[in-house]
Amino acid sequence: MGRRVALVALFVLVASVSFAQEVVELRFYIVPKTGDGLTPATAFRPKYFEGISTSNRDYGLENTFLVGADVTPAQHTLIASNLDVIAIPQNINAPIGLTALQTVKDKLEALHVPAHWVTTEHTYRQVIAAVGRLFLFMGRFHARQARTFFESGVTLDLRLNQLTQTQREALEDAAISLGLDLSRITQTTTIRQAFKALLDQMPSFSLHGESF
Amino acid sequence: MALPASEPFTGTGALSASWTNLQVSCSRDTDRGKGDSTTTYCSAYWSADAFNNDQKSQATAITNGGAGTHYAAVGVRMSSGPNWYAQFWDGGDNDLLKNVAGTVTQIAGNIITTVAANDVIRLEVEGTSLRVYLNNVQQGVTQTDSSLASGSAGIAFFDNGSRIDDWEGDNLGGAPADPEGRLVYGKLVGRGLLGGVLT
Repeated sequence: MGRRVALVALFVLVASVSFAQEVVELRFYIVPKTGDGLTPATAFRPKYFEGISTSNRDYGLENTFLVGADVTPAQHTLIASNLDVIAIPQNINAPIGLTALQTVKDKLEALHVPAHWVTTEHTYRQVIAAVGRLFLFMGRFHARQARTFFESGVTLDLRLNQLTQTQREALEDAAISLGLDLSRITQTTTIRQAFKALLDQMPSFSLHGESF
Repeated sequence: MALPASEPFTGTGALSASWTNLQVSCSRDTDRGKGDSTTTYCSAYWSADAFNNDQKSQATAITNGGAGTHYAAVGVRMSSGPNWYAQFWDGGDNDLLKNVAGTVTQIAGNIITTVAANDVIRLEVEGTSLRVYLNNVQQGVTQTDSSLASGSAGIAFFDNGSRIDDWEGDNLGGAPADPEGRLVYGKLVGRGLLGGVLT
């Protein structure tokens, strides 16, 4: 009897350890690109996720990915420890709150992602949705124009009439190709305002199985 | 010709006139399909028929020339640029990639765990959704990308060591997609109504 109890206890222990090793959680990150695009093994991809199953949204030719990944707590700790990683809290339905608000805005704006609209009342889910939709738009811009939008001197604070005609036409071309309404955008609209108006019209999307 | 398109790669030599090569050419090698370069991407799309924007491409994996160096792939929305979405496999490194005007970017990493000989890999694109199947079972989650709106189904390789067989390409069911590749949601607008707003 004692031997049987010991065997059962051993089985439970082994099963617990095995289960603990396999626990993964869906997390979202904004990270830089790595790779050179020259081979499948070195295609442009999110930095720090080698060997991990990921779903990625690139910001066109900008050096940024939005990533969804199933990671273990240890993997998350390792990834999040890098200074160039924005690790989004696991509870994406939580409001951003006052403490994190300015950090969130500063980090997004540093990546050419407009964040003027973000308040303490917005949730991280809403921020991910906005970032992902803008990235999808910029993917189409890249495909249509084969170049980056943020050429030298272009910032979110510029007004559209401060862009060259070629730059304005490129933005318009990408928007029209996606069927987006441009009626709220004028020559004096800033790029950050224009991007927000465009991303608000982009459709919902899924990232690693989560709908946004 | 009419869809569905199929290619058994019978014989050895260049692909038939039903194909248009992108980048470096693809060809036939003793009844298998292969790439012709030892250093870069090779790709070709079926050009004998026009595809709807929603389409699929499928092939059977035969051999992998070497993990990390030789890859085969099925592609959709392939066009000059080069542009394509393609599911690559080398046995263990099996990523969903996109090529936008020559820039190759990973959409999903390790979406298929392993690929063995005679496995059938299929890539479908519908609107902005991309789905990968292994032996008719979807792998991973549905991916989203809006970069490429149109093109044709086809094949791709990296290096010349991998072989495929029995390629098939077809439209997905349903009505033909918008010819301009615009997303079907919300308010559709045309250049005639809004063109020139920014310019």
